[in-house]
Amino acid sequence: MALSVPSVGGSAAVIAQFDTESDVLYLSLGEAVASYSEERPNGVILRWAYDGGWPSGVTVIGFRGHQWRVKAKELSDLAAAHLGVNWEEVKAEIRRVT
Amino acid sequence: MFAEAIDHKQANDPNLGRLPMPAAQFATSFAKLRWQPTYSPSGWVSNGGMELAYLSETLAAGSPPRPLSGNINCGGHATGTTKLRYNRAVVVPRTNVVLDTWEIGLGEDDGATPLAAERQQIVPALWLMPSFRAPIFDVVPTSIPRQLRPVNRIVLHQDTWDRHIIPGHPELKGKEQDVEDVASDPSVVYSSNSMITDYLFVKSSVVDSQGRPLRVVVRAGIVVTAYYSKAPGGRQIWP
Repeated sequence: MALSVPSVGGSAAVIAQFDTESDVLYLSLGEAVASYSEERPNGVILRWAYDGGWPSGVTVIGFRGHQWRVKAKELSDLAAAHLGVNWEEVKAEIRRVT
Repeated sequence: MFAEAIDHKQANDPNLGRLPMPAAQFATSFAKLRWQPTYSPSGWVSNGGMELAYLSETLAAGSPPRPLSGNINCGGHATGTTKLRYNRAVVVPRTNVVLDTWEIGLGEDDGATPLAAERQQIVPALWLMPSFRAPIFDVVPTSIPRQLRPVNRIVLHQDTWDRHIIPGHPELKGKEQDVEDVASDPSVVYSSNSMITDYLFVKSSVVDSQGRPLRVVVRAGIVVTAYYSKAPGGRQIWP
């Protein structure tokens, strides 16, 4: 499967949005694109773009319920490894929206 | 135009309090109300929703919007019997009913109380509206026997869909009906492995182009997100 990560302004940027009502965190590499998903433990869902199969994002169901905020480094590592970005960038973006 | 009417009414009716949000925002929210016979929007109008739905269904099918006249008396509000009176309602085809002159009063309508006295108790509709979240659907998972249902009703809120699910999962754009189909007629329900409060609803016929089922995550009867995935991702609780 060909992997072609999109470039946003020269480098892929992680964008987060948090649904406080539903306790769901969405992380995407650049603007979110149509993707399929695979579930991982602790509410983590990894997403891959239909078009190209590149790792496109991470959805976290039950962000607060799983106490991911206090395990931000662990979640950032996991998301960064999937998205191929720096974990500190992911962590900062998570902090920004949660 | 509706927003202007609200502004005008606010300015000229001393019995009405102030709207806690701009009239235009209220008009937008109000226009999104989808009156359904079984739906009670946050309890602020119960039977009224049913009656309006009846009027909507009766009068709007295949006909252009037209004005109505009359009163609707509603019961069931927690603070007392709620009464919704409309002087002229425009029934928009399909599901929306727009009231361009509206009042909500509290108290029993005994049929004899002078209107002026009733109006003393009139409060603006929006005092009862801030917590209202317009639903895209509110369904019963009818394919599951009543005694086995993990939840009795499933609601997808418009704001959850517009502000979170679609921006996070754009592959679901335009798939509201699919989500509703899964919620109302699931073929399998899983209990989430990671969140004991969550259920994953799946319908074997609702899949993406590569056969991945649409998985709808339901918590306390509310859709929190949805996505396409092949993984089981939970303990099957039904059937």
